[in-house]
Amino acid sequence: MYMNRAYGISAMQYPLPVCPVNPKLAHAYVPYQYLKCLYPPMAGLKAGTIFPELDRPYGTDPEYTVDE
Amino acid sequence: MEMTREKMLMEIMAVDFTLIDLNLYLDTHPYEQKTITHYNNCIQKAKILHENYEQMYGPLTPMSYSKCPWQWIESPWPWEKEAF
Repeated sequence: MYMNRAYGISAMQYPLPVCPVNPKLAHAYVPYQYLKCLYPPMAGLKAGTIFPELDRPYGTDPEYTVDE
Repeated sequence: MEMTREKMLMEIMAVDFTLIDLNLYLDTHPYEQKTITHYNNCIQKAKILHENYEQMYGPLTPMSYSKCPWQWIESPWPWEKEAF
């Protein structure tokens, strides 16, 4: 999570950028998620996530598929 | 297992899963009032579904009221689904 200890939890009350404004070399970052819409419960259970933006079934993106 | 029982279990699993996913999301977004409201609504819905199920078919976990005889040991167990 993009949260600086120096600012404490209060920093989280302000909108955070999806990615750090000044990324540092050799540091890894996870983009900050913003809620768009949600799957209904049954669709979420079947997809394994209630967030459509995280619904990426294995095998559909060749870049992340190692099986032949 | 009769259809309504299985359907009720599926609905419980679905709403419980939604709660788990919202829980994880809120861990990193603790100030999103809208999402917390949605979470609370889902909690309410889950409670009703759990209560309805348990009234009809007995406990979902060993952490709920039981009639006599002790209901937790009643069949079917999850792996006995095919027998019903």
